[in-house]
Amino acid sequence: MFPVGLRIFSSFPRNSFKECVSCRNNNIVRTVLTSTFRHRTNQRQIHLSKSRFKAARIVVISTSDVIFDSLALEEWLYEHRDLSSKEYLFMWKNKPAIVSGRHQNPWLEANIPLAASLGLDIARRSSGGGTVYHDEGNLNLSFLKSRDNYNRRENLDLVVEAVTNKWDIDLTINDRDDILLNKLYKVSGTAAKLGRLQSYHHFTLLHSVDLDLLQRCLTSPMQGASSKATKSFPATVMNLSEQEPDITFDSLTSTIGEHFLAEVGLEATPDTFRYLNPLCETEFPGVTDIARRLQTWEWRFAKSPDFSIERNFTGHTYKSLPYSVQVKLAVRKGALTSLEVRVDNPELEQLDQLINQFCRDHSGFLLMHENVKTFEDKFLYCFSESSNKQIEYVSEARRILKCILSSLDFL
Amino acid sequence: MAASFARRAVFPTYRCLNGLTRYRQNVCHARYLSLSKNLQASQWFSKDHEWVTIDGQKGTVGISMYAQEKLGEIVYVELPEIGTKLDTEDVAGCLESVKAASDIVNPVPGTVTEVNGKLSDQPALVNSEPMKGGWLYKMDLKAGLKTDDLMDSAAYEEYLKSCD
Repeated sequence: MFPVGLRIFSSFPRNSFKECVSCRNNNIVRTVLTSTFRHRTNQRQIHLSKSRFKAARIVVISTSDVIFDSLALEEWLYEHRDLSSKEYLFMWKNKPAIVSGRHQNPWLEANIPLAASLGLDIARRSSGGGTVYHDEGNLNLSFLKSRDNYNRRENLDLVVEAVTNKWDIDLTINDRDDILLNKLYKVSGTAAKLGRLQSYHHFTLLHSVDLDLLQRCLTSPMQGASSKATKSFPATVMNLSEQEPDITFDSLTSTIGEHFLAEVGLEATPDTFRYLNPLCETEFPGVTDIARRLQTWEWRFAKSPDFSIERNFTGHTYKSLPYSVQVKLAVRKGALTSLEVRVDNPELEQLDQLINQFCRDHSGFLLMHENVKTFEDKFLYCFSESSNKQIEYVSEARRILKCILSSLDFL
Repeated sequence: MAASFARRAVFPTYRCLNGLTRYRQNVCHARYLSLSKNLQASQWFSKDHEWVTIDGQKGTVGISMYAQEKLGEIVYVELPEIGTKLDTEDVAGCLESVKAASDIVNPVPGTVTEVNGKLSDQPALVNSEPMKGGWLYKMDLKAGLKTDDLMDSAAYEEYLKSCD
């Protein structure tokens, strides 16, 4: 799990580590073999700042505005490129989307019906952390480095330094690795993915996001849920451009990108600062498959950890006796595995049993709109006037159906 | 007993995990002792900071104290499906802690037979008892398993000194 830092070096004789008196900042010079071990005699000296090997760097900016394309390229770089020899700063913006963390429940974290009605993309990252709203007013930054060189604080420091060098604004980093504006308003949220040898740390930077839509999208209509999924931490957010109108996607990418390169003595050239189509199969063979996988319903929704919902609906009366309806449902891997209804009116006991029998027979479907519609149609057919059910039950059955459907209104 | 001791002194015995015994010269004494002492249930560590306890053909996998300290509070544990065949260094699952999703790197080849169900309710067990109650999954180990790339606890302790 932790391919430990400097494993290559750790087996070397101690005397191969020497203090370099000529270096400023107490940098250490290590005499190391080339990383491949193939040329054991071919030793070279590498200057290491903070005992880290400085790999070459490249800035990549996505030309696509689709969240899935950029996430796919990020995943591709993480899986296929040797990040110990070259580190990437990958930046992109995308059209409005809701993006949840790897182990989250998007239905619980966001307003999925609203997002769907507005045509927003709903995505899931491979990294941890909470749910965020993105639009073109948000810069996404991803630092892809070897696992040994994974250091969130370093990446955040770099961005804060680059931005505050250029603009006169007050940015700080809190202990949750959020970047705060004026020590109060969150302008950036962090997440990371760590593999055996590779890693990426990505975060948002809000410069001119639609904050009203952000708020609405991140408020879930789901009620009565219990879930073990990772929870998001809501925060008061603000846009950088409110403080400094010059801050835009282009000014941020060039400022931060140049700073990232300058740290290892590089300049922005067409080779080190590239605008790329993330779905270019010639350069990134297999990337479209990743993009396709990220768009599947199974990854976006069914990956949600198991959850259950318990709702109580009151205010119904039958034969002038008030009653309530309790709906309990459980979801596993995106499928409704159990659905129970309890009607606390003795007069409706038989109907209660009939409905529960129906629910047992007809649950098990994946929580997609078309499946809920099919369930509804079958229910209406089963409990209609034309069926052999007692006629006075039909209107009560429809009320109970409404309760069931209300319990699923987060879809 | 004496005879067996004498024979072993000449040819230090290395017992493979499949129960076969073979003679191996030039095995360092300390390693030989720790192997024979823990033959019934031996615990090994990988360089990726997973541990595996090997008892016959059964293996139990978890992460080390050092690994859990590095990760911080674990909020979600994603474990492999029962029946999954895993090779060494395959990604077996994922641990989420303070916004980071970290791969669980499988230390020995085998087939997953059981996962620690407690971790869905109490993921932080991996932090509080990484070597006991916070185990991750159990496996049927592949026959003829070798532990050459793994470390015993003394070697792992030594390895940790080079980790920070």
